[in-house]
Formats: sequence, structure tokens, C-alpha cells
Amino acid sequence: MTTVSLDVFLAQMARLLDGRSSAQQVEAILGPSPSGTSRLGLYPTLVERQQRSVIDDFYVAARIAAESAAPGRFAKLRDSFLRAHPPSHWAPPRAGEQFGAFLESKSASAELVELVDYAWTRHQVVHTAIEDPASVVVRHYTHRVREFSRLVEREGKTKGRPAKEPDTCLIGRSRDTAQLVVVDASVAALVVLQVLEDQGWSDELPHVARESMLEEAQRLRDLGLLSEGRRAALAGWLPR
Amino acid sequence: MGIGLRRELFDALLATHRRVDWLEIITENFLGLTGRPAVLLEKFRDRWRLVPHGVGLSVGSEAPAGYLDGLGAFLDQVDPPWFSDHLCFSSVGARTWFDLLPLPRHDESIQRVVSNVKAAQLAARRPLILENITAYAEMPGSSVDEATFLGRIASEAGIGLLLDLNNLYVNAVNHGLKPQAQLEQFPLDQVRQIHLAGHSRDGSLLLDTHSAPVSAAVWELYVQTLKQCGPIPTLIEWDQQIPSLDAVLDEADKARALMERHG
Repeated sequence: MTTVSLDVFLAQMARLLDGRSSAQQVEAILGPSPSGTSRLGLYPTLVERQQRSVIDDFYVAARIAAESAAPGRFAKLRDSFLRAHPPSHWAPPRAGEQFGAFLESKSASAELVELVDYAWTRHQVVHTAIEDPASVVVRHYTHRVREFSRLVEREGKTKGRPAKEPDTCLIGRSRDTAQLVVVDASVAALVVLQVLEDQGWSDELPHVARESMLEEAQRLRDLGLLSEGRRAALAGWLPR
Repeated sequence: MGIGLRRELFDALLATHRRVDWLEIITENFLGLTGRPAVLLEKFRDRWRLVPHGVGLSVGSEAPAGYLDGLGAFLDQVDPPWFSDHLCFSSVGARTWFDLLPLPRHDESIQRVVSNVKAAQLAARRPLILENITAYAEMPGSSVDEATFLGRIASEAGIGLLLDLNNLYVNAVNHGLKPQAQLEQFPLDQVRQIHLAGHSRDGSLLLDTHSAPVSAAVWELYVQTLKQCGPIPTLIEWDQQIPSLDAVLDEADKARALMERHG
């Protein structure tokens, strides 16, 4: 029996696994599989299932929100992403590294982009050395993505979407327990990190400061200490 | 008797008082990583012997870019007696599939694997052992059977084998062979470690899902192996639908009892 070289075998299998050739086409070059064409043809399905599950499991909150908004939407975006960015790194999470940028390029909804960013950012922070300033980052989201992610990942929520409400948070890793820590990013917290940890001024600081002042203005209004007109004027006066 | 270290078991393992002799860690979950994985690794290494088990070395093609670079330093950190991976390919060039894919069993594959094993051991500064995989299809171009393929690679590369009895059983059933006969042909004198795991059924096929207790048929193969080879380091793998730590350790206790009785 004539045997093709191992490199030809690997090249043909790569085509089969990526859906660029059928099992019949591969067998025409490599010879028949003793198990039959349909068994050989199982492999593209198996690897596709595996790659899909890497993305689905990593971005579980994004998947649930997208499916709740439009059934089938996440699967379509995920498959399109995997075709555009076939995994090349041996560490499975890295397969989804570009997913956020891909979604932005496809003008996906803000909530979806933010949920993906929140998952990837936590992964990055967890895998960053504690001495690295990147082990604490600030994120501003227009949706309550951390609350929604918690409901999905810890409490098994299987439907729904994050509320549209701004949320700025600090995502970091505890120096004491090495666990992930996610907390509100107050103006004071951002300043403390800048002063004590030499983090550099966060781009989010003006935003957090603005939100913080608007919240305070509302509180003062609720207490009757500020007129509605003055409260409303503050929103226009503060820089965006 | 060891068990696979999986995220779902981290907290329970650190709290348990039950006997766990050693842990197998997935190489790719820790290789080259700083941060929390490094902290966890230290925590588990302080208490148990750790043995890395990889899924990404791809000895049948070539190691993915960067894979071997940090392997030596990682293994120095873990200090295992050996590390293991699979006799398969999982990547070609810059493309990886996160799956263990079978090779055609012929001379060129043997030479390629032997050469890659030597390069990996050089980088790792530790002995490598290779595991028999589940193959749902025989690849075109094979000229020798699996037992001969494994035996020749082990002999020519001077390495040991990791006998996955669930894989052997699943392959035998899926290809219409007798598991018992497959075990008798396996180069048992080269086996350095055993894997036990559960499988599931999808239509006419058995799938190597590691999602269930070890089946009765695989326990029988284990007893047969012990009777022939004596005691061999054994590990319970459970990767999907992972139950409580106690349920996993019950399987390990069962394997330990069998080893004491038959090994």
C-alpha cells in the first residue's frame, strides 16, 4: 500500500478539521479510513463542538444575555468569530482573546461587548503577577455586567440581560488570598490607588467623579436641600 | 492512588482529611502562568506530589510555538517524577484544535514522535510518558496495530507509557474488538501509570467524556492489569459533570483496594 507522508496527512487533516475539505476528499488523497468515511467525518464535528464549548464556557454570561435578547444570535457571532480567528494558542482561554474586539467590529450591543470584556478582564487580572500594576484595573460599564455575571456564574441564572445602568468598578486580585476582588470604584479609591500604588490617573476618574457628584446632588435633592432646577443644571455643568 | 486536580475540587481538596496520595494537574492550566495559578500551584505542591499531564504537546506533529520554552522551568517548579501527554497530534503549524487527534500508525509517524519526544524531554529535563488516546476512526495509511505502534515508540524513544484503560475499552467497543484481547496485546511491560475514567454513549458510539464513574468493564480490565503487572501508580480522571470530592475519592479508594488485593 502506498502511504502518503506524515506532513501530507497533517495538512489534509487540517483541511478536514477546518471544514475546507470533506472526508471523501481527504480519503481520495490519503486513502480510505478502515473505519469508514462517516467515522473519519466525525472529527470536524468533534473539534467544532470542542472549540464552541471553549467560547461558550468562557463567556457564559454573554451567551445567556445574547440568547435572551435574540435566540441564535450568540451562536452566529461565535461561529463567525471562530472562522475569522481560528484558535492558534495551546491555552484554550486564549482562543477568546479577540472576541471583544471582534464583537465591536460587528457593532454588537454594548451589553454584549461589556459582558465579554468583564469576563476577559477578570481572566487577565487573575493571571497577572501581583507586583504588576495590571493586577488592579478600572472598568466603566454602561450596564450592570458584574451583577449579571455573578447571577449567571454563581447562582445559575439561565435567562435575562444586564440592566442598563452605569457601573464603574475596580477589578483586582487580593494580595492576601490571591482571590479575585471586584468592588465599586469610588473617587477616593481611584485617588488612593494613584497615590499609594502609583497606578497613574485612571481615565475613568472624571467619569466616576461626575457620577459621584450627580448621585450626591440627587441625595441632596431628596433631602430637600437642593432645588430640582439646580440639580438638573449640575448635569449640564459637569464635564462629560 | 491519585486524582485529577480540577477547579471544581480546589476548595474541597484543601479542606479534606481523606487520603489523596498525589494529584495530576493539567499542564496547560499552569504552564507559563503567573498570578493566581502560580499561588494555587504552590499551595497544592506543599501538600501533595503533583504530576503534570498535558494535552497540547502534539508529539505527532510538532509542539506549538512557545510551548517548550517554559516547560523546563515549570517542571522544575513542580518537580514531578515524570510528566505525561498523549500519543496524538493536536496542532499543525499555527492552528490548534484542543482535541487529541489520532495519527496514522506507520514508520514515519514513529520516527516523528520519537524525535519530538526527545526534544520535549530535553526541554523538560524530565522523563515523558505517553498515553494511548481514544480514536473514533482509524486514520488512513496505518501499517501496524496500536499495540505495536505504542510499543515501538516506547522502545525507540526509551520512554514509559500511560495506559488509559477507559480509552482502551472505548476504542475496542467502537471498533468491534474484544477489550480483553486488546489489553493482552498492549505493551504492559512499558506501562508506568494507569488512568481510570468513565465514558458516555452517543448513539452507537462510546465517547471518552470522563463524565461518569468508572464502568464495571473497565474495573475488570484494571484487575487484569494489576494481576499481570503488579501495583502501578493509578489516577482517577473526572472532567465533566464533576461530582463531589467524596465521590471522586470513593473511586480512588476502590482502585486502591483493588491494587492492594490484586497488585
